Amino acid sequence: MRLADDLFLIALDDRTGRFRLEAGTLGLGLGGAMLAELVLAGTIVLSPERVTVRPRASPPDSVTHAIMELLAAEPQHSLRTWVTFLARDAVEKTAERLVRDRLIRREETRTLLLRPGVVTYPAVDPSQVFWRSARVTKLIEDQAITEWSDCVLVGLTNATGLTRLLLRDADDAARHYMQWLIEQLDSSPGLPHLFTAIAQAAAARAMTNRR
Amino acid sequence: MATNSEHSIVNSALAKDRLGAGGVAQFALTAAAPLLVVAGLVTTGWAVTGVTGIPAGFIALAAIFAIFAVGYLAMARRIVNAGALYTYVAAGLGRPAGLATATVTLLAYSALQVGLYGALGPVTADLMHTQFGWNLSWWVYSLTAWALVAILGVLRVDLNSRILAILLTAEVLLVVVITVVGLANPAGGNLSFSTLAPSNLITAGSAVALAIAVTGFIGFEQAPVYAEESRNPRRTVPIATYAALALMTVLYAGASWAMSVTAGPDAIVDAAREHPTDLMFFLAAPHLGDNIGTIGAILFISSMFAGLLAYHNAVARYAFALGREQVLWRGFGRTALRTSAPITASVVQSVTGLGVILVYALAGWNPMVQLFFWGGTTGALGILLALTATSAAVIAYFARVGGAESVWQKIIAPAIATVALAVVIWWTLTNYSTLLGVEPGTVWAWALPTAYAVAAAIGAGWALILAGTRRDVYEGIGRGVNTSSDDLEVTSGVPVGGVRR
Repeated sequence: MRLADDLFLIALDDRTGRFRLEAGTLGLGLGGAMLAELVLAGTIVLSPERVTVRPRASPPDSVTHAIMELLAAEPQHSLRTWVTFLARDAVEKTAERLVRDRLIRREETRTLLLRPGVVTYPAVDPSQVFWRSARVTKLIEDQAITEWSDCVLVGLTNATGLTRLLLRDADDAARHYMQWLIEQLDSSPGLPHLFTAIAQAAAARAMTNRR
Repeated sequence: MATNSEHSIVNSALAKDRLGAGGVAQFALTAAAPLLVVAGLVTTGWAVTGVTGIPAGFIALAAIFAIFAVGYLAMARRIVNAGALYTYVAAGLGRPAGLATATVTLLAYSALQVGLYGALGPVTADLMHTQFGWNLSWWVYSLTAWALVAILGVLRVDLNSRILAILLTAEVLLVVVITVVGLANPAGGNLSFSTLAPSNLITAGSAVALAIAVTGFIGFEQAPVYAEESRNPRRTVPIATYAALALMTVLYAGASWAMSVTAGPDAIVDAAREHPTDLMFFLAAPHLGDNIGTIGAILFISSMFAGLLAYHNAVARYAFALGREQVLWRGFGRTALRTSAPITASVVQSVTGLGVILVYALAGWNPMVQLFFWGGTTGALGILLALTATSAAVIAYFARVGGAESVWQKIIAPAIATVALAVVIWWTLTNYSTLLGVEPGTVWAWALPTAYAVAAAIGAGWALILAGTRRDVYEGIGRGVNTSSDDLEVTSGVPVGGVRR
């Protein structure tokens, strides 16, 4: 779950432990990251209408095992439905894993109002969190991405809007490089559809009331 | 969206986050703000226009809207899109008509939203004066509400739906109680049906009564907007639409009739002119005690505030959807990272509101009449135009794509609705000066309706320009946030994901 972990830590403010991206949209990105992980492992193929599990595919790890079983059991759902479904508890699940790995702590602040407490995730070592964003920014600015997984990570940060933070001070060359980079994924088994599904679901959040 | 819902883990998990019919109807009714309509709109309508037959207008219009809903809902089952009206027009009558509808609707919702500041201020000022003896101007309260709406809009915070439900229930109960008590205590001892009589609809004032009624019903068309968020759109959306329409009709026609009965049909206009902000509670006070005025005013104000926020969000989302399609300035498609609010669109609407409040305050114009009532009725005209175009689009759409829907749904009902709505528009336009309460030929009487002609021309013209210059964008008109994409664009100032076709 390297992609989800990276995305989570990029979205996290290393000083405050709060998210720099609205949690619901982050969840969509993390849900998408889980699917992207499976695509990279060669176990699923994506189209806008379907998520298809490849025959005799074996899951890369135990976390993805449960997801794969569900994907195989309910093949009728669209890609966007899967992203929305996986997004529901993606933030909490990713946070649990990162807490176990001692990268972040979970802190809950009690509030006087009727609302539930505010949860923050302060970094155990802020530089470890900061590094995740800095690494991607530097790779894009240096036009030096060589791994497919980093290319997909850039696609995920773009679909959730996080690249607005990563490339805040970047020049046009870096932006064009990023666009070129994402285009390289056009030949992948459905990753551009995944980015579109995430971006659409994120835009739909702006159209809805927060409840 | 999956159709196979039996024992699906995914569907049952997602259903928990979705809205039932009650939830959707609640959103529609919040936008309609029932107490605002009966205590504010109807009474101001009497005072400004002198037309007594407003209760009959509600019933006639409810019938037209019920017939309109047949085709509208049939189309909503085919096209699930939070943009609703303009996406249907784009699908039925073509993209230029769709974009014209979008600009008209945007202007109309914006006028309705800003208009509400004109009622909230004076009503709050009156309450504060009677309760605490404060003598602050109306715009102090309007600006306070404005600041709250501006902040909540940017934070994407809606009023808690449970609080809204409680307020809405309290409003409805209050209206029902006052209606029953009012009917039990008619002026002169005899129950008069004159304001309900169909004969009201063949007088010169009928256009005015109908136009005011349109304002009251706005919000009922909102249910399809929530289709994607609802548990079972095929059932939820129609139930919510008809339930909201039925409840509005009973409340509006009942309460306005009751007020005319209590004051006496001949005296109601003078009474409304004497009590511009509290007529309903003033009439009820002898029977329910003086506290009814305070309770009523508080609920009236909360109703207006809920309406302000609902319309603010509606305008911002409309502009956001158009910005994402890149048919309006694409900056409108930008969201705030931390809140996912449609930030630019929200701020622009707030700036508009601030400008209008300040102009009215500085010019000393009457907020209740020239802002609230004019904004409300002019906004209603825009929505009426959009609904008529939508109704015609339903016929064109089904004529082209066919389908298993009945002839009643595909042709007859939308045809009746289109003609009826067109007649209402014609009457409204020819009586616009009466509606505004100004002399015929006054600049406002033609300038306000003309604004829609300009907006529609800009929308359609822009669509035609796009057709010639940016075919990809043109093809995307009416897709709303479901604009699909093969490539993601990465330039600054692009919305989340920067989706382009």
